[in-house]
Amino acid sequence: MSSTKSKKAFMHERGIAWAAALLLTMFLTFCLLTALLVQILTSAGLHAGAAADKRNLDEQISSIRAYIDLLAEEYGFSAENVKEAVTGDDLKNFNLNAAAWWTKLLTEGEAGSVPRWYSEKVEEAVIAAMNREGNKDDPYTVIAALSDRIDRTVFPLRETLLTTGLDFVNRRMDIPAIIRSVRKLPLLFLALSALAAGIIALAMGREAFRSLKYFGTAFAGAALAVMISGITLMVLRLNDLIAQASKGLANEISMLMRTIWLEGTAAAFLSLAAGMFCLYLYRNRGIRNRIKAGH
Amino acid sequence: MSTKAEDRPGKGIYLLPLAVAAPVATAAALAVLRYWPAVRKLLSIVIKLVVKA
Repeated sequence: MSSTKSKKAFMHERGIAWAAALLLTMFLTFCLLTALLVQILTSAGLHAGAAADKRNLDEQISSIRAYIDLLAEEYGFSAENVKEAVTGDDLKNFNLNAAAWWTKLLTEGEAGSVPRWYSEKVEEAVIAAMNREGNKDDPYTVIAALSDRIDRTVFPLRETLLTTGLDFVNRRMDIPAIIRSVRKLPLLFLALSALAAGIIALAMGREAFRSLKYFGTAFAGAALAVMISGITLMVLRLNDLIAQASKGLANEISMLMRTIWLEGTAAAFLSLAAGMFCLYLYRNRGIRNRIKAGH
Repeated sequence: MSTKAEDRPGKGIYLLPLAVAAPVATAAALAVLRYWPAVRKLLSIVIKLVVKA
């Protein structure tokens, strides 16, 4: 009778431990995924890095210079001085201002003043180039077309729609508070993971080393789940969808995602290593117990 | 000292995470892929609205 009772108690403990291990796997997976999501949404450094990336700037400059050539052909002026006036530094600063606007929108739910391209050097270069050719067209038409093109290249979003939409939603709900709550999600899932781990430890009682099996399964399981999520995201090819609308925006997003991939992969491998180590310790202890017991 | 059967683990124990996580994660991924065409249509409308060509 007492052997049946202790066998039932043992199965009961295992049942609770496995259920808690499954929960721990889920909470750890959500913790890792929400941490990556929060970083995409709120990291000013990440967005600034993508905006100021050399490849991104080079592509923007070559696209703008090609447009200047088109304008020069249409309006009959020499493009060289105008192309030189659009410098990499000015473009980089404009990219950083655009990234700062976007980050403020995502972190505070407030749209500040929308960044616009302006360069006195470019204006003077266009006016000088058109006057040199004795061009009768209004240089400010060319300047406006060029500024609009630079705006679209660096900041291809309909910001009026975004700001109007945000104002509309802000009147009905507290967007900054929602954003602050979203930023705390990884901590919440970490706390829930600690709770699940505590339940496993309690279920295992005095033979705490048996918890290692469940911890190891959960850590490694979470790593596998994050990797499968990453592969699913790659299969969805979101960037191709964005590239159909704006190649520049798709390039910036792919630079952002590259950093996130690296961090996500590193976190997943760390979790996998921790899981395998726990399982190794559990197996090692189990073998030593077997040797001690003479089996 | 424990002599329970579960405490004499073989090398198969390293496959436990795969057995636990893979079916759940794969089922979730398949569900996402199933609804993806509809979500993709919605996203492309939103992108056309928000992104300047």
